[in-house]
Amino acid sequence: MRIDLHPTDTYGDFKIRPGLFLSNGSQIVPGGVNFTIYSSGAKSCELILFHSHEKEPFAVIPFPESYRIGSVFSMIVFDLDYENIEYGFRIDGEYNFEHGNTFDKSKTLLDPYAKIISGRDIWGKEPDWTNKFQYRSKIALDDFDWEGDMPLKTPHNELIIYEAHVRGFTKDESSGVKFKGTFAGLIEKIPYLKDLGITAIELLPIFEFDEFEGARDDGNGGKLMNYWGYSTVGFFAPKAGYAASGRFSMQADEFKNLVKELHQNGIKVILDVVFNHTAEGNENGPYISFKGLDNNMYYILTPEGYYYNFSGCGNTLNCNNPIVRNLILDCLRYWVGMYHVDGFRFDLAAILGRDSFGAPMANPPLLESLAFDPILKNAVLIAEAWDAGGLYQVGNFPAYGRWAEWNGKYRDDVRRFLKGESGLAGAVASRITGSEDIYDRYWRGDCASVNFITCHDGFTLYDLFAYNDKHNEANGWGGSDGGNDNHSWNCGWEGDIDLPADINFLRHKMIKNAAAILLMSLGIPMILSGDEFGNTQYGNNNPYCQDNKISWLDWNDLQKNQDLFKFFKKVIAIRKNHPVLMRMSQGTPFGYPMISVHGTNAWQFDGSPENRVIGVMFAGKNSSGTDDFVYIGINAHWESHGVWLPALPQNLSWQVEVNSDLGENAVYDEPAAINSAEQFIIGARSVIICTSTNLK
Amino acid sequence: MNIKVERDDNIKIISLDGQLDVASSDNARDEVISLLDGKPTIISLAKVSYVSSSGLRALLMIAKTAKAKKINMVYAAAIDEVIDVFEMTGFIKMLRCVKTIEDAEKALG
Repeated sequence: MRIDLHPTDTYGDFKIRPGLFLSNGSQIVPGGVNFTIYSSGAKSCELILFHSHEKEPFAVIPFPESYRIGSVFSMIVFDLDYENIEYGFRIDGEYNFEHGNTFDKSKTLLDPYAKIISGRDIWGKEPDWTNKFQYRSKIALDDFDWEGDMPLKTPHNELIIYEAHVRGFTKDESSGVKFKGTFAGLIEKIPYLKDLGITAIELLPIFEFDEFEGARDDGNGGKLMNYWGYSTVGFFAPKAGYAASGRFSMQADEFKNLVKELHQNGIKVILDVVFNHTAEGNENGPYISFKGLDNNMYYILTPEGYYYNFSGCGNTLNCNNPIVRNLILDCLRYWVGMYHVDGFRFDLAAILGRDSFGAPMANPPLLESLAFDPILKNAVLIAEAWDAGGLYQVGNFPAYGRWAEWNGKYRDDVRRFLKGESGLAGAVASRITGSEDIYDRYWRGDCASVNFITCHDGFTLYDLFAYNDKHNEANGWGGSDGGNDNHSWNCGWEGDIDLPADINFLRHKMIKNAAAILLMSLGIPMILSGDEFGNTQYGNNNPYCQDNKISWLDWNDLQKNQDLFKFFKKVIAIRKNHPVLMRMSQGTPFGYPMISVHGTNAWQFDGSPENRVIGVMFAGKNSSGTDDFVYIGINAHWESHGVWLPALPQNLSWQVEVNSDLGENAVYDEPAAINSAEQFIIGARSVIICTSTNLK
Repeated sequence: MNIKVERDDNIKIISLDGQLDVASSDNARDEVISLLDGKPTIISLAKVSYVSSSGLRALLMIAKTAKAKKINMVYAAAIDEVIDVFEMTGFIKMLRCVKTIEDAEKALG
């Protein structure tokens, strides 16, 4: 027993003592619970305690002045029934809008360090709107039996990322899992993910958010929700509504178990995190935490005290303020240290490099801190290197040799090339060979480019080849929301109604072409979940509010489109079997460059505008140290073309592993030998992948 | 929480009755552990209506203690709601759990 953990004072019936000032938020200690909160502008602070779900508190305990160091208030309260308590803080301070001070002692504030939050325990359950305290901090047991688990130590080169929405992944009946739409449900799908072969799952935001934020009637008796969740309520709490056990406040255990299970199957966990803004909105938005703590520190404000809106979501978190920076660092360290997550993807990350006035910085302290933090040392850090305020930093994101980026240029170039636009062969050759024109490998390393053709934001891969135009009417904005620069092509038929078989065949071929290019490109590939079996969003390219069949994966398509799944699985396996594709090859075969670009003739790349044929050869060593070659031949033209594959060393010959032109048979059961004396005819709009084999 | 030794011959059956939550779990854990005397043991959860986070930890600590003492021990007869909680949180994999007391007797061989 520690000698500093006994009560020293009483307040009413409560035994209390000064707390652990360095331990933010709430923490269970022997005999009691420690509560710590900081606010530089606070005159005083009260701890407010509620029985679970009750509107009125059962206790209001002011922090005595002697329980304050600097601007930190800390108190241990003894003998609390900590599983059945919710708590918040009330802070007294100045209200002066122009100066950015918006203290309001009538508001009960969520602990910004709350480890679990109640109030939205069951997804979609209508909250009691008369309750003034909507998001309620709870006290978490943060021990967990990890059974030896740690963040995975496999190199980033091996990443094959699968971007998924926790709820949408298994919510549909067709998922067949017991705990649909939850962390536990995702565990039930791990065998599927393993079979597919991906090595990391990137989850759309799982920090507590309010699915009812901005909720509207959809006009058909349903509701449009904040489904994606890019609007954080609490940065340290997993979303209760994503946990089957959220109604028992066990979301922390459930999510930790998910991480442990994924790790046991060799799958890393990457979290999509939103630090550019919070759910507090602008001056008309709710008080959750920060507005009542230190509004003018946490947010970038105009000289008149209004909220800058670089996020497009009402406010902008003041990321390079030292206090906010520490909060973000604390948060990321917490998720790595306590949840064993393997990395993060930062939404609208360009904001993380803006100063307190909103100007981009050359050397942003936050990004630098993250790049060099000891706990985050091996964590994957991925930036979405732009923001809604017009700052576009793809290739220029302050990376410190540590950060990877979503390569938006990869997406656009590959899409345009695949649909048949002219003048893109050179650009696509660069994208496949690692985008070194964008990411200088000397400074940025092997894994700077996260290559993707689709992500949650935009068309699914099926829809990319099924719709010329977005169809967002269901989102309630008259179809005006969502991007217009989709570079999509419907293959000659808009949508799926009365779809002719030949168009469907072409769409499947286009999907396979995309998959082959994505998995054969240097950098880190990212697949949108469901693309591997042709999931559709019915042409909706912005279903952020669609908590229904538009967004939920329809697993029936997996049966229907087995050819797509088989193809994805194959190209993933090819990537994993050839170290050179991950830049992990130990050496190159004598006389061959590691990467070479070809045209219809070997060693002669044609960069002219009307050329649509690209061959890329990767030359390395396989895991047993022998020479290993991979060739991808792409014909984006609407006519077939013959290509000469580069000659191999004498003891090796080419074999074709996949050919997207062959429909259901695109994946060869046994790779087929290629006659090196003849051209290989690549069909119209088709892709082949060949590998080297020993001459028989 | 009521803890009773229902049977104590070649097999010991300990039954728990009530809610296993923050108010009861520490005591329940200590009491059950004190009853582990080396015999094959069945812990009946048939009358446990709810298991909270701290309750899960108590059950895990009992199981770990039994394992450390090389005691053959199994949980039995938990109601569906409790089994669901074990499944959702993954504790099901760390707790040896069977459906009925008969199954438990078989499991203990």
